[in-house]
Amino acid sequence: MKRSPIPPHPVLNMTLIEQVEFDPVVTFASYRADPGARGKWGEQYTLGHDSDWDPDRDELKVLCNIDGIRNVGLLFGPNGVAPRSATLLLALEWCSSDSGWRILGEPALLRMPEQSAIPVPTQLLLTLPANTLRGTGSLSLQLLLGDAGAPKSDEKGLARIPGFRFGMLGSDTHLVIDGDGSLFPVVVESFGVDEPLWRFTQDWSDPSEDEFSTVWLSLSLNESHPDFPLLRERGVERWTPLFCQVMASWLATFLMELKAEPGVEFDAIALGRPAGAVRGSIVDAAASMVKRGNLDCSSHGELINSIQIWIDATAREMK
Amino acid sequence: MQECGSALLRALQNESMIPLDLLAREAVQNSLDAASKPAGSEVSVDVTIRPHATDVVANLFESGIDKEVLFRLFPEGGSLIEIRDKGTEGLTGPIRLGDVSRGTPRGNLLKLVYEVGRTRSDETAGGSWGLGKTCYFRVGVGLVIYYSRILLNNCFEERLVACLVENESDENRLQRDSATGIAWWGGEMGVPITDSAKIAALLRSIDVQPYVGEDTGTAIVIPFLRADLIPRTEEAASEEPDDIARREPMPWWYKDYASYMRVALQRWFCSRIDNSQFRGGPALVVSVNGQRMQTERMQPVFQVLQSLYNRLDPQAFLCGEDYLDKCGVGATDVLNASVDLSKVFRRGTSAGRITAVRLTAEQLKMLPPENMPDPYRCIFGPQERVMRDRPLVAFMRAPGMVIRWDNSTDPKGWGGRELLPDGHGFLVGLFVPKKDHELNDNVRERLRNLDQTLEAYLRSCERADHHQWVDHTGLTIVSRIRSKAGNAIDKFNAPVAARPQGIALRTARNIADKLLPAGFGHDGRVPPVPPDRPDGGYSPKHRSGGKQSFPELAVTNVLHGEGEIRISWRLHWGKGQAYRQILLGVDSESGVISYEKWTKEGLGQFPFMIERAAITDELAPQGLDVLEMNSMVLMVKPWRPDMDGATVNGELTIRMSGRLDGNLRPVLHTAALQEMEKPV
Repeated sequence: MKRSPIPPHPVLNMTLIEQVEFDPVVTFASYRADPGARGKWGEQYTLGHDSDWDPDRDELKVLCNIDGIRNVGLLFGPNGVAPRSATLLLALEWCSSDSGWRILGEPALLRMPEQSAIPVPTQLLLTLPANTLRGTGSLSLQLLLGDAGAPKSDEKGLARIPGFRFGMLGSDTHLVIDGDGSLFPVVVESFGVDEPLWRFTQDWSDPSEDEFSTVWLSLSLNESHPDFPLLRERGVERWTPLFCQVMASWLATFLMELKAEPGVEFDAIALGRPAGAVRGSIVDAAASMVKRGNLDCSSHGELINSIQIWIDATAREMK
Repeated sequence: MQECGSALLRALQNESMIPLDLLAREAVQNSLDAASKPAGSEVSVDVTIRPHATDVVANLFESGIDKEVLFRLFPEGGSLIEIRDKGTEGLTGPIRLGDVSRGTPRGNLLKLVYEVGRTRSDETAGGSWGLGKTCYFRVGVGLVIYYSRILLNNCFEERLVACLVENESDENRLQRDSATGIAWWGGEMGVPITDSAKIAALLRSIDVQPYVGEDTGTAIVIPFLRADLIPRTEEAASEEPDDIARREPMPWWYKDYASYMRVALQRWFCSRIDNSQFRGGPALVVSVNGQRMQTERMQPVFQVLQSLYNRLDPQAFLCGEDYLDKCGVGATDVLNASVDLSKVFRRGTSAGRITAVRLTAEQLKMLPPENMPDPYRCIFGPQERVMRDRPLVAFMRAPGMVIRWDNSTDPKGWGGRELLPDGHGFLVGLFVPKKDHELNDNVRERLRNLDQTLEAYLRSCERADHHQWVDHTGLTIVSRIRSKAGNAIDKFNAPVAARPQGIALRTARNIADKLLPAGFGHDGRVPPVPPDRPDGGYSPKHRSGGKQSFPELAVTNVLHGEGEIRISWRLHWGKGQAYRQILLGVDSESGVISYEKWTKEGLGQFPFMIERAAITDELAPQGLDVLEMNSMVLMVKPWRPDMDGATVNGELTIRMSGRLDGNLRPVLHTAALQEMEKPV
């Protein structure tokens, strides 16, 4: 059933939204790590690109700089949304049903400009605490009534109650917190100086169903090991020769463990087909890597050879 | 046929469980297995523990027993336990092995009394190994007296027999005629006595009541109970100086066997005791020393488990307040999730359901003035170094006996890997399998059994004491159920659990970018693909082309005045000649609140009303009564023989209540009036 809600007072309409022009510059920040955002205001942002930012551990600050809002005066008066004497509030809003949360940031105040031709500069900030963001949601610029002032006789139909929502200025922006981005199950732990540099750990119960994630298996790197710094080049996300060897050995171990697992149809994996495994599962990941890397699973020796060729080629592409 | 007594006494495989727990589990389970068919409304089990004189029992045996040993061991008498069931079929079947012919059932008598070490094959039975009943011989000197009344060819028959299983090499053994340590007393050749007069005299001497009226059942009498069937305080405490058991007094139920039995019965059968909603068979009525056990008198944790059990099947869960209701636990605070396994069953994936609830110390009545013992003490007693920050998860099969209460630290265990937040209460869970779910051909082939259900498989995974499920070699059904149940508990326990501290996200992202396509994780670098649209596109909001069958309303203009809104509207008629209604409501996130709903929910005066309305189409017949209205509804009548595809334009004015807070929005929608509803 289509329904037509009608605001009890004038709100932002398409004409006003198009006339009140502004060009927001939106940036994302966090104390510990750059959130690694990519995207465009008014469309969509994804997070985590080349970044350590973790929504469970890190807050997300959304900063919106607006050099100048043009034609602010149109919002006031009988043809606008608020009395000429009113104070409007402009704030960033985060709304996400996945997170079960809607929140407004600190608002900026907008008043009827004395000279309507002068753009009104504004800076807005919205801080979303760590471990509160889930799934996806939307960011938008919301206009609300701060104070109605003293409405004139020609402004009787306009909103008077503080907090009344006039709607969204511009378009909303989709923000992706949890998506379909892959994560390799790598963890950094401290086993001790005399312990191995890396370990293969597995705790899966059904690799055809269990997700390819650190819950069920991992490449555990020992940060206490003297050679740990040799795994990465400082400041550059590039695979060092030692890291390539670790990756190759881990992948060979992973595939051999799967081969030994009762109930796993390894022949199908060796052909690069997951054979009925759940999407995103351990078996699905194994089959995917076998296919992408053109890995030869006919023997342990051929497997380690083909893995090394793939890993080396991948590392060379990064240089 | 039989092994020796010493081997049978060792065969139970469980040296860790307290003997009275073993006895409670075995005896009640046997009674439930023997429930009358067709099932009656309840099975009762009455447990009596009382002292007896040595000669009273010794005199039951005319010969074959070394009475001197008995008097030496028990110069001042002993204690006996009588476990008596009713509503069961009793010890039926042939009374001697020689009477068993091909194809006839062996009956309960032979299986319980004479085939002490033989395993069972009845799928519906709670037990499976037949060795569990050896616990009867371990709680006393090895003597067990069986008395039963059965219905045989529409006549009642009584049976009484005694059995002894003892270590044949023990210096203090009671009988020396048999080299095996196993012997029977009754009629000729050890078959049961069936002469009711003789039985009555024997029962009278040991103060056991005969079955009367229509009652059938079995009474098991075990005299000369050992003195160490429950641990004493000093045994319960470990060597650790900080052992909590050294600081805390022993729970009250450790003071005597009867008290202990009361709690043991709750511990293992709480889902079935006094529960008319039990789904796996008749309810279980239990009494100890004449005191009937009632749900509301059980320890809180056991009442919680019964509530969880009942709530697993919302359709069967009848109205009435249960323990969780009384605690203020809402339906949404209880986990109730399917545990799914792929490639195990012929049809579907559900192996059963896991349910759980978080509770505070107050909800478990642990605070003054109730001061009830905490769940860990009720379940594990003081003798175990208990992990108190772990969930407590019970699992059971259809007969309703808790197989085990699990609080292990195994990351793939029933309680998952997460610890409970320190000082934030308790988490109690229960897994119940979907018993009739048929295993697929592949699994059956591996089991070499073509008639396997999940229930039968789980039963075959139990050891003699029914205290654990262990997968058959090469199968992972139990381990997968366990880890998936644990996962569900984890998510319930810590729904926003942080990822492990050590995860190297940047590296994890960058390696995945090089080696994997999207879809192996839930990272925010790639937007999620909507499940119903694999191409990632969005479905169009509006249908295009073609005439709509249903009417639609569009608001074409809005003018706001003081306390009123003037609205121009356009009605797309759709198809048919039924009257069109334009209805006024209040917009809300959960849909339109109509005038009727607003009033019914007592929300006060409806905030809007239609004040004026008119059709503005010049082509509409002005003189006719095309438009009717009241304060909530406009009714537009068809004015030509075929209104299909027509549009009607009009206006209306909504008056807003003076006390409106500004955030309520009126909403208009349209519908075709059903023929029957047309006003006359």
